[in-house]
Amino acid sequence: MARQFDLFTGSLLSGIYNLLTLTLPDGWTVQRTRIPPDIYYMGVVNGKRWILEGYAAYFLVNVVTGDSYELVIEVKKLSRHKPAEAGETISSFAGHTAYISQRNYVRGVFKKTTIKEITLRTECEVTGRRICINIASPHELPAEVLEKMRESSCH
Amino acid sequence: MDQSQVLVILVILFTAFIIVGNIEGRRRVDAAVLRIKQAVEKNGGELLSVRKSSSTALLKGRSLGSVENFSLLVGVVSKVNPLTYLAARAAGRMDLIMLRGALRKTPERNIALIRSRSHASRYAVRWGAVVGEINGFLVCGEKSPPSLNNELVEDLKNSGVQLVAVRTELPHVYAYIELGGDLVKATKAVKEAVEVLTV
Repeated sequence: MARQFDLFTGSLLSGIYNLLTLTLPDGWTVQRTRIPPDIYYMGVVNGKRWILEGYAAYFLVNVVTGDSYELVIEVKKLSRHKPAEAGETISSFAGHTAYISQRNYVRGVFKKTTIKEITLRTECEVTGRRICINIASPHELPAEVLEKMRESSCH
Repeated sequence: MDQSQVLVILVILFTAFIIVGNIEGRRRVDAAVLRIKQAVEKNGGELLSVRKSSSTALLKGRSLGSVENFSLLVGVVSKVNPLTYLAARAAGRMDLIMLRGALRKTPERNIALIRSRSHASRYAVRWGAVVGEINGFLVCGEKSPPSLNNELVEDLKNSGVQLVAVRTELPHVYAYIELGGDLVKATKAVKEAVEVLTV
């Protein structure tokens, strides 16, 4: 069973603008962080309001184990196609080709923690956006999450 | 005493509360984690990891009766800020353990046992309509209350269990347990209650 999360932001003056709809497996949720979304450009595509440039930070949480993952979604205007880079694996996201890269890095000064970071980037030709989804945590992200995320929607 | 002296005293007092509250909080969390570890192990469960701070701890584990994977979130009312401590106490907050778990087999119905007049009973409606009451426990859910033996209900009541819920979606199991109670007895009672509620 999958769950869908509409990620959006807005204000009383400008109304609601959508980032994307994220699909996650059952037992996972998206929570807000204290970091407010930063939006630079918005626009209307096919009658729906979209964030065309900006970023938003969330937490991806496994509600059973309590493990949390930092989720940062960044969108930029699509100028030209960026091919796969070295180390990237090819997958799909919301019906588009997606490129996934992984890396580990150490965070902290006195208490060092190894962070596992997964970056998924895709290009949505319909809304003219380059979408970059970054998931970072000391915990391993189960493969089923990335698998389910492929069913997300960005247009 | 002039205003500047009062200000200095307040700064010293709040700094002292921050330091003492942090040390005291860590000690309370450490003691709670130790008791929980013993309770889980005595009931046949296995703990995989523990993360602690000065007011919370997150324990992950597996194989606790019919609960396959679970986490225990421990929250102690922090004394770092005396004003928020007093406000929390006045609101009825207490040191609590929240268990969330996944069952091997998805339950077929949503049902919750909530101790009457407890903190959890204020939000009973979140767990569904109240369909009955068994010896001081509200039964919230979709169907008629299950048949529970009095001994189990007494164990739940005496060991400080505020809520046991079984749901059709993840997390399948929720339990709120008061940290001041008998945790070995509470874990056993929750384990048994989950088995009864999933039938």
